[in-house]
Order: sequence, then structure tokens, then C-alpha cells
Amino acid sequence: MTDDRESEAPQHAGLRRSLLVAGALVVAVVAAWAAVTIAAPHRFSGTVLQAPDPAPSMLGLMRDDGSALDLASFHGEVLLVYFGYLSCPDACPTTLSNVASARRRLGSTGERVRLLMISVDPERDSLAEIGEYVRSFDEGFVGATGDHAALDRVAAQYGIFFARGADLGPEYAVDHTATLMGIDTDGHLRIIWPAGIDIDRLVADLEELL
Amino acid sequence: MNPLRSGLGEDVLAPDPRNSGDGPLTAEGSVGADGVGRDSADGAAGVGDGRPLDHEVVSVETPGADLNGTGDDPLDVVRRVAGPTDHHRARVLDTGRVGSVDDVGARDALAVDDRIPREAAGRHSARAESEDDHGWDREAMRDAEHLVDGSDDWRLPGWTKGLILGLVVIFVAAMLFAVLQPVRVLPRIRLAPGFALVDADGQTITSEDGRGAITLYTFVPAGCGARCDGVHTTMDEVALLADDIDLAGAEFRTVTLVMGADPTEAASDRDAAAPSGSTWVAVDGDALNNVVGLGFARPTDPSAFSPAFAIVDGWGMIRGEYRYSTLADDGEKLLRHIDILGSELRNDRGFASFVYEAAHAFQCYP
Repeated sequence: MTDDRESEAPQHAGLRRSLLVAGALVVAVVAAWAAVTIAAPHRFSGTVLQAPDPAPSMLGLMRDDGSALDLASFHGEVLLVYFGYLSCPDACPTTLSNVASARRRLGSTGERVRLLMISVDPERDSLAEIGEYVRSFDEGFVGATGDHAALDRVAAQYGIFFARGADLGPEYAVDHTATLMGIDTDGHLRIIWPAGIDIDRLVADLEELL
Repeated sequence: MNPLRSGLGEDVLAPDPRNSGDGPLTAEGSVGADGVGRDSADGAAGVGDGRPLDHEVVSVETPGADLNGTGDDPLDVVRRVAGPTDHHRARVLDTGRVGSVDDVGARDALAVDDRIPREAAGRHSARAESEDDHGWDREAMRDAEHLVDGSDDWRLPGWTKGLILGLVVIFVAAMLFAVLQPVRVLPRIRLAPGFALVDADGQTITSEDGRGAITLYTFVPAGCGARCDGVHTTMDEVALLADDIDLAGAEFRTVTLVMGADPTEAASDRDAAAPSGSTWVAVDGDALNNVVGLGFARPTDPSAFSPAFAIVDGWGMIRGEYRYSTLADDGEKLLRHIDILGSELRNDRGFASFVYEAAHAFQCYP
């Protein structure tokens, strides 16, 4: 009987050691996964510029309150820049609505998120109308526009194309790039979101930027 | 001796005032049948080969082995406890390596002196099934060997070891990734300029036309003539060979921006540069400054011409800028970088996309 017990003891020890190793491996895998998902840098939904330059100047554009538009006035805030126009049938109101929702979802920190909509249709959109329009979505939004020379210069640097499009009876459409751009709290152009970005993803990205 | 903790049937950890500094894990001595100590090192210290020890752990489970106030050498206590048996070995553990008193449980401490008979150690009931014919607890001995040999000298819970191992693996993997750069990407330099221009055929060309495509731009002054032959040759060569690159379905385009030209002049230059298959676009006036000057950061003065190229991805990001001071045909380099871009496009889903994003984070650029 003693011999039987003697032969079983090493087997038990081996089994215990194997279980310990297996357990350690499982823990290691779980730890690695946790590190990747939790400790790893946030993966932005938009396209991120790794070494962003300061956001191009908006010299020549005017805010909806009639003052000159100066990006320095948004220092410490995440500024979302969108080029659109008031008669825009779908993309513009959808984007502004999504940003307003994201801002509300962020709660108090959302107060540090501003949206700047630059109208690329200065012939029809007055500064006052732009201001009224953007604040119908959220009180924290800002409107701006300028003459075509200034708009062309600023839009080109932000990768925005715009041009008068098809006539729609007495009205006309304005074709424009509908991307949303994020300028971080230090004034660097950091991220580009495609048109129609999902609100949840936008919220997650904004939390990271803040 | 100044015990930190002691008690009947328990281990004692005590700093040894005779030793100092970082001590070895173990030291040992032996006791002969006559009870005379035969230490493996100098008996004055009584704990091994004379290397310094900060603390000592002694198996003292037998009644009467309380060291409080005795000032006895730990090794002597073990000898006394063990009695006149054939061979005894006492091991002394460095608490700095073992951990707390509780880490060195009675079971481990029992086997520290791996020649103490079971009865002498007073642990016969718990390990009765694993005792051998001599009454020695072999399992405890094996565990103790791990402990004292140093193979298991940092007694941490399994999950802690696993966590540390995992973190080490991740750290090493990250370092290897950064050093070896198994995946390379092209940097996202900045936004390419937005524009709406007219090409040599009178068609409106916009930056949006390149959305979802990979576009190779070059910039030539109007009426460049033979000065720009090398540029056109490179554009055609790249356009031809890029067809063999898997761009995950993305279109590859080449656009030649003719600076200071109207569409008619652009058409004339294009025809003179045949067989260029590039789209020739006229850019002049404010657009020249906005698109070429500010957007692509290229000189707009024709006299300052030097060959230059830019690769723009489907997001409208400039991913490569090539500003050559000579007319060297570097189509191969452009093709290699386009292939890198294609590789990123082919792996922009699932786990692979994390790897490529990590390559951006680690700036694994060619």
C-alpha cells in the first residue's frame, strides 16, 4: 500500500504543476488581452494625424457675432470644424445633430467641445442667420463665413472642396466635402471623421481628445 | 538573535545581527549521527558558506524550539531538534527573497531541514500518505527543494506570476515591434488640399474625385518642355506598374498639376509630353497659391521648379512627399511606397488593423 501511495505522489505533483502552468498561461493571455484592450491607446474612429501641425489659420473669416475668427479663442477646447451651408438638405443637419447629441452625451465635459460651422455659401447665408441656425442645434455651436477668397484659402488648407452645384428651381445646391475635423485643445488638427460618423464612436473619440 | 516572530510549532524569521547586506537564498549545514555539527561553511555564522544574510528561517516545529531570547544559532536549534539521526541539513532562507513569515509556511519550513524525521518535525498527520518508509515527507521535501534551490524563490500567487509574465511579454513584444518594425506604414502627413479645377479636356476635377482612390500628384510649370520629361516618364512608369499592386480594390490615379496654365495650355503641354496617361489639370491664380502653395507646400514660381511628387490616400491625406533636387528616376521608390499603402488597405479590418495602427503609433515609416 505504501508503494502505491509512493507512486501516486509524483503523479499528483506533476498534475498540480501542469495545472499551475496552464493556469499561469491562461492568466497571461487574459492579462495580455486586458492590456491591449484597456491599457492600449484609444483607437480613433476617425483618421488620426500622428504628428499634427497647428490647424491652418482661418484669417479672413468672421464669426457669427461679427468678430474676426481666431482659432486661439478656442484654446483649451476641442473644436470640431465643419464646412456646410444653411440650405444643405441632409449632410449638414445630420452632422450638426450628431455632434449636438455627442456633446450632450459627454455631460459636463461636453462643454469643452465646440462646433464651428463655416458656411461655404456666403451669398445666401448671413452671419446672423448662420449663428441662429447652428444654435438651433446646440447653444455651444459657433457659425462663421467670409468672402470667397478667404473661404477658398481656408477650405483648401482643410482639404475641403466646394463649388456651386445643380440648380434646384430658384435655389441651388453647393457641393462640398462633408468631413468633420477635430482640432485638439492645443490647436493641432488631429483627426478627420468621415461624413455620417456614428455618435457612439464620436463620443468615444471626443472623450479621448478631452 | 532578535526574532521577528516565533512560536511553538511555527517558523521563526529573525534578523541575524552577525550578517548584513543582501544575502543568498540559502545556506546549509549538516549534523552527523553523533550530533556534532558539520557545517558546509564556517560554523561561526552557522549558516552556510559565510555569505552575508539578513534574515534566517528555521524549522522549529518541535516543542522546545522556541528561539525567543535564547540567542541560539538557528542551525544549532535545528540540530538539537533533529536529534542524533543520520544526517540533517538545515537551510536558511533570506526573507528578502521569500517574502513574509506567512509565505514560509510550516510545510515548507518542515522540509527546509529535509532530513528531519517526520515525528521530530511533528507534522506526521497532514502528510502521512506521502511519507516514505523512513517517515519522511517526500512531497514536502520536493516543494522545499523548489523553495530552497531558488527555482521557486519568489513565492507569488500563480495569477500574479501570470500577470507579470503577460506584461513582460507585451513589453518585449512592443519593444521588438518598435525595433524590428515588421510592419511599415506611410505617415499621415497632413490633409491634401481641397480643390475644384479644370483639366486639359475642360472637365471639372475636384479633390473629391480622389476619395477612396490613391492619387499620385506631380507639379510642373506651364511650358516646362524637356525639363519635365523625367517627371512624366516617372509618372507613366508608376502608373503602368501600379496596376500590379493589390490596392484592395482602390483605384490608382495620376494627376499632373500644370502651374500657371489655363486648360488650353495644359492640353498643349500634355500633348507634347505624350504618351503620359496622367490627368493634366490647369491651376492658376488664387487656386495656385491655395492648392499648390499652401496645400502641397510646393513653390509656385516656375523658375523655382524641381521635380516633386505627392501620394494622397483615399481619405485625402498626404502620405508621401518627394522633393527631389535632381531628375533622378525614382519610380521604384514611389512604387514601393504605394505597395506599403496597399498593404495597409488590405489589412484595415480586424486584428490586423490594430497592428497597422500600432505601426503608426511607433512611427514605423520607411
